[in-house]
Amino acid sequence: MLWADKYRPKELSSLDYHKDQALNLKNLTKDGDFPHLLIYGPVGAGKKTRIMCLLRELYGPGIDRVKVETMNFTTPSNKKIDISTISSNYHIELSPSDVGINDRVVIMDVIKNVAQTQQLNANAQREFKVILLTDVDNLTKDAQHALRRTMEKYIANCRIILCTTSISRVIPAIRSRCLCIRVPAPSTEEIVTILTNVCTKESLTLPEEISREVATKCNRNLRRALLMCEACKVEKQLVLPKQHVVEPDWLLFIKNIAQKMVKEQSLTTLVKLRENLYELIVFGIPSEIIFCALLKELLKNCDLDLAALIVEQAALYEHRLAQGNKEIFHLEAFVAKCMCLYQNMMQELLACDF
Amino acid sequence: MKKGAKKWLGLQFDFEENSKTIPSTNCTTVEVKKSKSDLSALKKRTFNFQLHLKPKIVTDLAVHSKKIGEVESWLQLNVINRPKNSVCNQTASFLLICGPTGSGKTATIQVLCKKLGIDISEWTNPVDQEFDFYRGVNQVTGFTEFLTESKWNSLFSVSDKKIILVEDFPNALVRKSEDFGAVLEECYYKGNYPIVFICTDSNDSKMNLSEKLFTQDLRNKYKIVEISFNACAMTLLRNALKRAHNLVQDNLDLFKTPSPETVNAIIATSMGDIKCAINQYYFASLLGTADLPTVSTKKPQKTGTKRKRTETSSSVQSMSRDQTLGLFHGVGKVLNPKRVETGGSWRLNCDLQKLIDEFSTQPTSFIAFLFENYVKYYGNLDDVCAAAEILSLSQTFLEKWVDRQDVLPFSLWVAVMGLMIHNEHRVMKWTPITGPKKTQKKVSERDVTDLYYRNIINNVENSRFDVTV
Repeated sequence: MLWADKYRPKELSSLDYHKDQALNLKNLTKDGDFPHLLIYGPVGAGKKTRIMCLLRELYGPGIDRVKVETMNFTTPSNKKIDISTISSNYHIELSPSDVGINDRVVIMDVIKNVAQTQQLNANAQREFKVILLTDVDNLTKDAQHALRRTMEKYIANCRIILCTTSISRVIPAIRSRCLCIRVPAPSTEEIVTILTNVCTKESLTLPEEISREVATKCNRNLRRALLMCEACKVEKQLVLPKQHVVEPDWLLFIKNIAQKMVKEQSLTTLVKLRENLYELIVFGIPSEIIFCALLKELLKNCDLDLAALIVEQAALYEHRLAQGNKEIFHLEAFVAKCMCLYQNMMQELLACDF
Repeated sequence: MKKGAKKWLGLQFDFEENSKTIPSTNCTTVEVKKSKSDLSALKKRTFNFQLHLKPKIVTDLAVHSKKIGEVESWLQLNVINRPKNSVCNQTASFLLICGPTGSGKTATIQVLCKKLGIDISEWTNPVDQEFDFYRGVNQVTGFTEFLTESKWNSLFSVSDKKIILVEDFPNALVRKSEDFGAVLEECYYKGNYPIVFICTDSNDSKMNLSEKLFTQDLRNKYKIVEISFNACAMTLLRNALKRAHNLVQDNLDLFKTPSPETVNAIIATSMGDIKCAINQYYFASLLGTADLPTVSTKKPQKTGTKRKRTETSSSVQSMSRDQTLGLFHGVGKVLNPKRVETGGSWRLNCDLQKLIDEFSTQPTSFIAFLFENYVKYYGNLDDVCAAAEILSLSQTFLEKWVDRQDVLPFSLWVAVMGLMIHNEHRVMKWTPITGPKKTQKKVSERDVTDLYYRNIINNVENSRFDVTV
């Protein structure tokens, strides 16, 4: 079992950080009821942990007896779609955006199914079930509107918890129907403390330098920090003070792309880079992450004037990425633009020299 | 139609009765169809131009002789030399003929069947049924029954050789193409007569029956032979019109002889469509009309008689076929923009409106094609940068999974104009156009960004990216 799963807090009271928020959540469920929730925050901040703690607070340990099953749906156009769900007696968890354009059907069917089955013994359990939807920001507009309507209709029988990294792509109608709770990423200090605690429980001694390095490299993503730490342990068996913390291969790959852009600005490079970007996309790296990593690496290699221009372009294309259809178009446009800017700067420098 | 007649045979008999008025009773239903669309009813002395011009012998056909040979050998093999009295252990054979409109698919089958003494019974979609009156079998069942049970010979048949011709596919099948497999299966084991399917090619992938209904699986499973026809060649068209010319010469009291220029214009405009060519010739030869005015431009000549004709008969609305651009042709036009200098500035030498109308139904795929190929046609990084910016802009019109039909053409306009205008340093060499890359995300893992560490921890091989510079 991974450390990240093994040492995941199970109770609201045992959470390591955001203790005030944990207290608020506890108070929220005191009466045995809560409104629809919209939990948001960066990756690896502990959104899911908090949701599960909340559910346990509400339903007791029965929430841990989960089964994974695949549900089948039929779209109006007779297309069969499958989606995998995790469910217990009290809740069901799914990520409707997995089915892409057909997510509306999934949302409506699931909510109807859950809402229309009454709990048999209302005294022993709560009178509502919980539907946990993850990756809400990737839902289509259609699905979000469907969600809005069904949320209101079935409030008696079910509560919906939405989980997303950013609420900017969630329509305002949904935001206003939910209690929005932001879970911020843990600070570097908090990560260091947690890593040390985990290592102590594993009866290992974690040198200060490594925990610092992991905490800075993990991008304040606690899950990744724990994985990195465990990976260090696996690689060297013993955690040594001078050990180097490896970065993920895709990150190196993106850095590689940035280097190629700086090295040679030409059409052949562009064609090659398109292939590389395709590789990343096919592998499933979210395009926002590609964008961020690429930008960070590019900014290392340029002076302030150029940096301002590049950041401006990045902002433009990142916005389009969120709006538009195919990510490769925007990524390539950004790469081409940066190469142009870089080339122009070099030519100006040469002209100044003479 | 009587209530008792539940089978299609009843309907077929009706057709036979109608067709008695037509002298030749050989291929019955087909001729009924032709005579209905006959336009010569307008004339005082009735003269069936179309019927007289109909190919009667193999040499009349405006089809390449090799194609005719292919069809004939299939018929020989599967109809004439078919072992008799072996109803069991015998599976029906299927032939699929496809090709563009007016390439002589149906005519070839008819002429060859006549030559070889084979009867044709053709399926036509029933249009005159009232549902209240004729409850019961649905269209697909009716179709299947017709294909499997039309084993009783017609009273007027001359031989026991027969094929079943399907040109008019039931609408239910066109809408739900997956049912077609079941129909074929039924026919394959039960049917007694070879079945010939005729499919007209179409640019629209939704309407392309030969692709949609006859999937590769079905073709393999039921051993469907496919013979595809090409559009009529110029010389063959000319020969066909020569026959028409002779016909006109024989009936000079009814027709006048069109001038050779008109004939040339007709051949140019019909784009290999024999039906279209003959119709145009027919109208050009009508008495009392002026010579068809021909517009001579660099483009294929166009005949401009639409205005005159509409008064006389409404069925003559389109004289020339729409010139359709293939996808590759369109992509090539955008990536190789032609410019004309006018004064100090330049203009694009291209009918943009027409180009965009052509692809307005499939903006996503067209832009994907452009994106995949545009870099190869550009010679300068700055140009590419501008073009990439434009393509990225065009994508914002194609929002994620939202089909807003009204904004789709804008994306095309932006992409096409942008690519054509920014291509200042065009690369003049032959570059093959490649199809857009299909990216299939592997969504097997939840967090791909952390997969690397998990693989380290679980000791799984970690080599997906080549990180060497």
